[in-house]
Amino acid sequence: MTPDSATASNQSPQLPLQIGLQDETTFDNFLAREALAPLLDSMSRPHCEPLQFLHGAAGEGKSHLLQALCHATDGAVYLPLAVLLESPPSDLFQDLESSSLLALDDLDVIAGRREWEEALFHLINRARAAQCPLWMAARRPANDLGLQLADLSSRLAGGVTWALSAADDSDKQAILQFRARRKGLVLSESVAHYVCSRESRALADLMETLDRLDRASLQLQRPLTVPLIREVMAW
Amino acid sequence: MSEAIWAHCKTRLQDELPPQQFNTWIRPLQATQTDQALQLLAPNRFICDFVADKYGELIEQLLREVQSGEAELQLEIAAGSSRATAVQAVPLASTPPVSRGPALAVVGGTESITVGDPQESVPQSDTPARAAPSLVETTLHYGQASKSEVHEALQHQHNLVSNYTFSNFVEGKSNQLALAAANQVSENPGGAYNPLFLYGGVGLGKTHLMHAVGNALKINKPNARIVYLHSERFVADMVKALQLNAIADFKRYYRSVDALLIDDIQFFAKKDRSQEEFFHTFNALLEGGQQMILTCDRYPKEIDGLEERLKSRFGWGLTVAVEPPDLETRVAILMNKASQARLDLPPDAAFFIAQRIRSNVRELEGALKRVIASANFTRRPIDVDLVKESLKDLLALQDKQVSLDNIQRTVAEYYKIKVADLNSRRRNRSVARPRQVAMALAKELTNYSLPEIGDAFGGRDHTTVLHACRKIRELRETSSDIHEDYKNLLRLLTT
Repeated sequence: MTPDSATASNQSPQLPLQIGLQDETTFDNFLAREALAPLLDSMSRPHCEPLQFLHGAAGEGKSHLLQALCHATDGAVYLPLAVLLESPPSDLFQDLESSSLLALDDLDVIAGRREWEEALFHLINRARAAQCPLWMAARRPANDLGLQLADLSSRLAGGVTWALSAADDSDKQAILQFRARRKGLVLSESVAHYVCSRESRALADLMETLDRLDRASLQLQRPLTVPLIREVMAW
Repeated sequence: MSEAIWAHCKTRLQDELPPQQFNTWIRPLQATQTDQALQLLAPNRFICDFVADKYGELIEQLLREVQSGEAELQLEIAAGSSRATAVQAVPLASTPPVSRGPALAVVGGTESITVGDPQESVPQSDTPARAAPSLVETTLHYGQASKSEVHEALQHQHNLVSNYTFSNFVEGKSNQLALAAANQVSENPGGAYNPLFLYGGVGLGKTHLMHAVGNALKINKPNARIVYLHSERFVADMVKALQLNAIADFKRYYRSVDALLIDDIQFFAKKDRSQEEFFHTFNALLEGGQQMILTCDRYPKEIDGLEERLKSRFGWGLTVAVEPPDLETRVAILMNKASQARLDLPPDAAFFIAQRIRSNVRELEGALKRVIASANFTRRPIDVDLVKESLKDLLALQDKQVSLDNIQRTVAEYYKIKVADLNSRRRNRSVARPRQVAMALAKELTNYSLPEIGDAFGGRDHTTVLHACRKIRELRETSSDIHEDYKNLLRLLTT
C-alpha cells in the first residue's frame, strides 16, 4: 500500500513530474482485506459501471488501487490531480475519454476551483458518451467534498461509491508483514508488532519505515530484528 | 519494426528516467508502424506536448543510437482522441547534426510543435490546439464533405441514448407536467411548445426526458435529423469553426437539423460569442419550425451572465420545472430500476433507500448500484439489512449532516438570522417562521422526539414543535414562498 500521491508529492520540488504509476502499485502488492473484497471484485471488471468513486482517509490504499487498475488495463490513464493543479484543466482533460480507462486521484484538491470542477464535469459527460470507465478517488465522499458545481457533485454521487474503511491495528500489522514479504524480507509477528506499536498509526508512515528498514537491512546485511530496528530508528 | 525499435528505446528510457516520469509520460505512448517513420501516439494534446517538450530530444537521441541510417519520428495524438491528421514527418539524420536539427514535429490540423531547430522544422501556426472530434468536423469536414456524406453522418450522430425512453421514465407528481409536455412535443414537434425548456435541480431526469423525445421522434420519423448535444459541445464546435474560418459551415449544420436538443444551457453563461451564435441559430430554427429542447438547472430569468434577449426567447415556448421526486415516486423509480436490472428488490428495502436518499434520482440510482454490487458479490438477496450494510458510510454522513445543530445553522444562514435568534424567546414573524421551518425540518429529517427537538430550540414545549410542524405543512400547500424555502432547505441538508 502506498501513501496518497498528495502526500508523496510533498517530497519533491519537481511536482509536475512527480506523477504517474509507481512500479510496485500492482494488485499483487495489495493485501486484500476482507472488507475490500467487493471493491476488488468490482475492480476485476472495471468496465462494468461507467463511474466508480473511492473514498477513504489518506494512506488507506486509494492511490495504490487506482494505479493497480491502470497497471492491469492497457491504455489506461492515471492522473493524480494534486500534482497537476498547475496545468490548465481543459487542456489536461482534452480527449482523455478515448482512453480505455481513466483514473483520477486526489479529487479533493479541485473542490472550490470552478475551472477544474467544470472541466471535470465535462470530462465525465464525454467519458460517459464515449463509454470510457472513470474511476476516481478522494479522501471524503462526493457529497462532502465541498464542490461548488452541483452537477459535478451529483454525477459523482450517481456512480458506485466505495468507502475504504480504515484498517485496524491488526490489519496494519498484517499489511506491514505482507509488504515486507513482497520485498523479500522476513518480518516476524513479534517484530512487526514492535514496529506497529512504536510507529505512527498512519499506513503511509508504516510503509515509509519499512522502506527505510529494508535499505538498512540490505546495507548492513542483517536480518530485520528488534535490535536492528531499534538501532536504525533510534527508538 | 517500429514497435521493436520503440520497445528498445523504452527499455533505455526506463533506465534513464525516474519511474514516475517514465510511467506517466512514456508508458502511455503507443508505437505504430508507418512506411518510413516511428510514430508515437499520445492519449491527448497535453501529454503529446509535454513529451515533445521534455523528452523529444532524448527520444530522438536514443532513436539515433538504436537505429542506424535515416529514421523518422512522428509524435501525434491518437486517432481516436483527436483529428491530428496532418502529421509532419521529420527525417532524423543518422548521425547527430552539428547544430541541432529538426528532431521531432507534432502537427495537428494547422498547428505544429517542434523540438529542435525551428529553422528546419515545419512552419508553426498561431492557431490554438484543436479539440476533440466534433459533430461539425466529423460530418462536414468544414465544407469538404458531400451532402450525402453529411446526411449519412447525421444519421449516425444524433448522440441519443437509446435507453432513455418514455417507457422507462417513472412518472410522479414532481415531473408529470414535464412528461406531458415532452410527450406532446414528441407527437407534434415544432408546434406550440417550441422551445421546450426543462429546468430543475441536478439529477432529476431532465436529460432523460430530452432523450426520450429525441428517441420518439426518431421512431416516428427515422430519417429525421435529431441532434442531442451538451452545451459545451456547441461552444467547442463554434470556437473551432471560428479558428478554422468555417463558421458558415457551423451555421449551416446547426440550422439544418429537424430537432436540436441542448443540455445544460447554463454553461452558455458569460460566453458572449457562443450566446450570439446560439441566438441566431435559435431564431433560424424557430422560424423554420424546427423543434428545440433545452435543459437548464434554473429558471431562464435566473441565469446570470445570459443575454436578456435569450432569456426572453427561452420563454416563448413552454417552460416546465422538474421537481425533486416525492417518496412514492422515489420508491417507484427504485423498483423500476431494479426490474430493469432483473433484480428482486423487496418494497421495504426500496422504501428504506428512498426514505434516506432524498436529494435526486441520480444519487438514488447511485445508492441502488452500490447495494446491487454488494448483493452480487455476497450472493445475498437484497433486504433492509444488506441495504444498511452497503450504504452505512453514506447514511452515516447523512446523519452527520442532518444533526439538529446543522439544521439550525443552515436555516439561520438561509434566512440571514442568527442561530441564537432561533433559540431565543423572540416571537416576531422574521424569527418565528424560520424557527417553525427549522423545527419541521428537524422532525422530518431526524429521529429526535418532539420534546428533544423542543429542548434544542431554547427549551420549548413539545406542543410548540407539534404546532410548528402542522403550521409549516399547511403553509407549504398555501404559500409558494414557504414551499420554495422548505424545498431548498431540504436540498441543502440532504445533498
